[in-house]
Amino acid sequence: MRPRPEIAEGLEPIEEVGAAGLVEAPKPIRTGVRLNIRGRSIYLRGLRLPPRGIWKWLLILGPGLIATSAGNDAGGVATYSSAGAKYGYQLIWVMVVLTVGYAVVQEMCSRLGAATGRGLLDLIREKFGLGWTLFAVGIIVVANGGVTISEFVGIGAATELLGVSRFISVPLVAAILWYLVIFGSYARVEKVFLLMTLVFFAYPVAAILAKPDWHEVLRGTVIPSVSLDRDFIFIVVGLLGTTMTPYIQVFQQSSIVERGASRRRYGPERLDAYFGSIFSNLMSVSMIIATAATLYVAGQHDIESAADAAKALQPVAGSSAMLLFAIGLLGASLLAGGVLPLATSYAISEAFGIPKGVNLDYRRGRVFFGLFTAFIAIGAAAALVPDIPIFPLLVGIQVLNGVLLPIILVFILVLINDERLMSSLKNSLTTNIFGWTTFALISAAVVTMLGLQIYGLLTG
Amino acid sequence: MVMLTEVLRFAVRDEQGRHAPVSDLAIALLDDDYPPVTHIYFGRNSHKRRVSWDLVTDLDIKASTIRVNDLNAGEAANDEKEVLLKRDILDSLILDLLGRRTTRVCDVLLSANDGELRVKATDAGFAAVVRRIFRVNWPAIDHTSVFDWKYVEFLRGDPDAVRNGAGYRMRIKHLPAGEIALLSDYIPYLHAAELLKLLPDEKAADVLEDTSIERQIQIIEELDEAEAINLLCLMTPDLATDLTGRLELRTMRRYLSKMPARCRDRIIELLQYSEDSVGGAMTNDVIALPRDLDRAAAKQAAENLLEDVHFTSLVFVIDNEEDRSLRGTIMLRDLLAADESKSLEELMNPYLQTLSPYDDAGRAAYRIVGGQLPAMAVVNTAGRLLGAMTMEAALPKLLPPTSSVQRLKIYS
Repeated sequence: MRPRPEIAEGLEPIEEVGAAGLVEAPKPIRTGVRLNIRGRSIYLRGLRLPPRGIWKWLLILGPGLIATSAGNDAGGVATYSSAGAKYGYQLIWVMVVLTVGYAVVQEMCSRLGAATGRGLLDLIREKFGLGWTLFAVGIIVVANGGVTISEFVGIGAATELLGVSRFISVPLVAAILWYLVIFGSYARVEKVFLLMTLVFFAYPVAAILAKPDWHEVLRGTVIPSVSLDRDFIFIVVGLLGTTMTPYIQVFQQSSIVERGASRRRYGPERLDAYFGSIFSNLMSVSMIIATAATLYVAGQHDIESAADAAKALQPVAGSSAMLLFAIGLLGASLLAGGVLPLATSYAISEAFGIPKGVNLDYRRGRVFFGLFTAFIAIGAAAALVPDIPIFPLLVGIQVLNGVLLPIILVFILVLINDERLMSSLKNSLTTNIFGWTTFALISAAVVTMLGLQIYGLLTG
Repeated sequence: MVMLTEVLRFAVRDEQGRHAPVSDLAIALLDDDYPPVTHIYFGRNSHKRRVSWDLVTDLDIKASTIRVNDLNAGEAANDEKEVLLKRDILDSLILDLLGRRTTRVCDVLLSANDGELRVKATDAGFAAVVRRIFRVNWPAIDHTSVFDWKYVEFLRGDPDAVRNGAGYRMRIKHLPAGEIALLSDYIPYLHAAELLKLLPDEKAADVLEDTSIERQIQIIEELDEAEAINLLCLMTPDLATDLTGRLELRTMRRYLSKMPARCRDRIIELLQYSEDSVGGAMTNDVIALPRDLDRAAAKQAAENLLEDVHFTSLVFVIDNEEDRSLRGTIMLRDLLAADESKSLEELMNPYLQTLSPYDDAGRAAYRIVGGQLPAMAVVNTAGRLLGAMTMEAALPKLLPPTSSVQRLKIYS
């Protein structure tokens, strides 16, 4: 026997204890896949197997659902509620038509992101030059800055309906959103944003509680009713402008890039874009139904803000409908309050080649996170200013976004047909027909809107 | 010095009085640290033609004119394989290797000397934006936003460009792998794949190891099959396994089938353990020497293995190659510095704690980091050495996912 080395107290040389004595019992392990590789049958557990069942579908959801749901923000709630209160169920068909164009545009943004790995402003800068980039970024900064303020105003209004002062809720929410993005990974931010979209289910519940005439709802959905009345045109254009705004496209593409989508595995992102567009417009339709079944029927036709709509619902549909509307407004504003500053930070960073991404840590993305911080801080601070003229602000923003949207759509359509950029993922003829038709409709709507604005200004 | 955006407002004139607007400048990217302009492109769109810079008789910056003998000597534009300053460089994303950052080119500084026009630097500053938009020569160049062309790497965003023979300056390959990986985080995945294709295989594998798993998948999908398999074999087995395990099942099986046997066996062995187990985090590429070797033979054997093995800090002492029963460990440094007369068995530390491949990787990581161990041996129930869970594998299990710390290489 060889001389035994000095033994530290409580320890034994391995050969005496035996390796088996140090090994814990195997734990239950996850299932794997049996594969035959070069004639050898092996059971592999270290694989990331694709999710199955309900998870397979839930995990597809992400940027598409978040971006489109963010479009149902405080301004959106006001517009949809106003449409329902003023015209009942007559405008639901507009939302159906819009959904098709919306889904096509959002899917194109997803595809651009996956095929190129670049954000929309990256591509605009590279393909259309500095001038167009500055134009787009300028409008995005001003418009998104304004909408961010309106989101925090929406948060304040919603929490006040729920009994919490805006001076508490707005700074608190701003701090939470800031913390989430600065210290969270993209995956975590995406999960939280996805959770926020659950709040939108308050609207269908509010619609059901309002006891609508479903026969009339169906009629409004399938039979288009058109009027040449100025207010009617204005509200239709408003629906178009509220549903499709440039920041939604910017955010969708940038977050698809950050999520790590690639051209070789493009597919789930398409479903996400389609689902998101349909889901968010279903929520919009729910708002129209809820207000049509209550306020329109009660003859209360004038709604200026989302909070107005919620307040007006109380005497007509009861406090539960009001509460649901307020909760929906809070969720919508929270989501958009996070998405808008992020979309703006993405846009500026992409335009100037600044490192961007929620996945970066603060040291590596100082400018990106600095921009995000500035937008959150300015938005929250401005929302606390008493009697801030939010309605004129939103009208101005709608004009700016309206000017930019057709241009952004042209950029998207030109880029997505660039074979060098997209190779096999470029647009098919059918998608092009849908895309250019959407562009034509949006352009007509924007021209009409601008015309009405100018007419309104001239006639006082 | 003259700015590219100024030159793009110049006209090319010949002795017969014919003239055309300059539309672009072609450069010989690889000719020099500061590449010369080789051709002037003039005319618009379908009428675009080019004339060699050798035919330029005068560059009159004040008169915004480039003079040539005969504009008709121009040839039809053949710009597919050339690097054009306006089309390819202006507004593109570039890597500033000195500052280890990315930026977009707002303008290009050209030096006009001895009848030559050369690219000297790129300007990414706000002043360049103002000059360009308003077509003025004010404000002056902000030198903090000017990047010396010598230290600029320009990528096309097309991984196939490398295979198609596009020229690259390759200065980036002198950066450490970790820094290249950091830079690749800032650029789109197609650019990152292109960047990786530029690098020598060993360095490319190191860079791939240092990037996030999501980026690894995007990059590997863009590589040719042979390139991808080669890189997987050059990567440390544990990281190659993580990556292989996330590929689509069909792709994974194809890659594994075509891999060299040694590489395939290592990856398959590790793939048999789930990702959150010690087996999923361990490396099986370690130095294991029989205990009956004397110090000189052990030293020689270790030296022979150093080139091929990834984890080298710790030498594992086993009974023999056949049953690989673990007997102890010795630090490589101690082995190299030890007394010649002693045997490996006398030198080794027999007081070991080992891990089972089925242990929880997180708990094992605490033990490794808490014990300040370079690695812990992983053995099966019979005491056979399977591999080691290293400090490098342990730390990411403990760091929060948002720490953005790259894959660590401490002992390898």
